[in-house]
Amino acid sequence: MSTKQRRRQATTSTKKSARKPRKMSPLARKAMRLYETKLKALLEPTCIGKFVAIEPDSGDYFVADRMSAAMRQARLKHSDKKFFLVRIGFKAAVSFKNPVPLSL
Amino acid sequence: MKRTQRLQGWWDSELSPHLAVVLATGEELDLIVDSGFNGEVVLPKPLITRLGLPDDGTMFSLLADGSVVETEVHIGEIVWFGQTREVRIQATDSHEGLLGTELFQGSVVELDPDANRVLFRKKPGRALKRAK
Repeated sequence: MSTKQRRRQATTSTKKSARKPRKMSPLARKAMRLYETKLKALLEPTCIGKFVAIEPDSGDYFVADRMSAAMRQARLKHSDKKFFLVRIGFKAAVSFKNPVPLSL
Repeated sequence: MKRTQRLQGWWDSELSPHLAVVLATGEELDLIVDSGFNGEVVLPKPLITRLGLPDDGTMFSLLADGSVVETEVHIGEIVWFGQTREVRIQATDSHEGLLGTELFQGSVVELDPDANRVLFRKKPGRALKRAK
């Protein structure tokens, strides 16, 4: 396999492993844009595995070891808002190893 | 409120471990103890609506088939080892509720189907372990 082919294969597999949901709410879309453009570079070097609750309208974000702690901090500051939760460095905040029917 | 050090559940006829968890409002939830789910609690949508659990936002969930879906997050309060604890509850289309490994932290969990034992024992110090 040539270097060019290997590089193409690596790029393809990276894209596949990082795929996002087909349907996203405006809240998730805005929050993920903020995460990808700003928070990822800021948080991933030091906070892998922690949770960040994002309030995309203000750009505020709240990092904690536990999901409830991150969301609670966010709610303390923005009592009337909804938040998007990210597990830093992971493609989803939680995972299910057994089949479970989930939808928005 | 009395500090309970042990929470005891049971096994069903399909070899699934269960734990009865009480909400701060008094309702009792029958949850399947799911070591394959690393969140806190999952509940059926109609039950979340009936209980009036406040909406807190959304998150991505990675499913067993490798797909990622966006799921609603609600706020709930459960009685956990005798103390009220705020948890995040995800909505499911299934009729079963799940208790995930985020809530295992700080406990020793014994699962022994032969002895019909599902036991959560509170550890003296709070331990927080997260896979990197």
